[in-house]
Amino acid sequence: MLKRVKRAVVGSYVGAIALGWIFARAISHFENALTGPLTFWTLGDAMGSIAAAMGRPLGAMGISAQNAIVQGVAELLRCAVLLGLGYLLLRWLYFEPVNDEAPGPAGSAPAQ
Amino acid sequence: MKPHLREILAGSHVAAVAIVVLLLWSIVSAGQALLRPTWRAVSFLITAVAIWDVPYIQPGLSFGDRLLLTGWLIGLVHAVATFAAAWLLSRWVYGVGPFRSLGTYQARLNRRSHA
Repeated sequence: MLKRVKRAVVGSYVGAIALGWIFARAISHFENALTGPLTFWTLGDAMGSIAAAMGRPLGAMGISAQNAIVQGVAELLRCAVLLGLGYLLLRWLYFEPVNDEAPGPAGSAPAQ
Repeated sequence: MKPHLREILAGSHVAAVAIVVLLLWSIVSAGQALLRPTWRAVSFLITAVAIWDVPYIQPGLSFGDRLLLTGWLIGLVHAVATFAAAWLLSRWVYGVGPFRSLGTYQARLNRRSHA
């Protein structure tokens, strides 16, 4: 039954679309992990003046260096989980050919 | 022989989908980042036309201006970073930039469907 599911998922390109989205999401989380703390450090002054204008300390708004680092680590963890899930699915769907014919590169059409 | 990860990503269309998704997110981020400043510029022009004069321009940056600029910069950074990620992925898998790789990919798909 798993082979039938695999054949259907690979043949209908659902697997490719889902895996593409998973890898794109993982890359996006990695990029958030890098740009989040960078944004905080470059725009920290602007955020500080906004917080002062609102009459609230930065820490009370959840904006602090510690929070930025924690958010960065959380994004990295999300990236790692998605990459792991994507790799497992890629391995299951595309590392071995779907057909029972002579093995060739994954995703290629069978020889005529 | 065990297939290379890069070959599998290219042959299975996964890389192409990922590149398209990243490019779309980059465009959406850039659009969202530019929406408010664009609307402010448009409303300034509409006011100028309505009153037949230059609307009042506050000296220095107000609180709203700083909020607007901060949001714009964050959105722009996100858009550039996402586009850079799409470019890097395309270079690694296909050896060319994202638009060229997608163009070549589309031509290959058309040839396959017409064959």
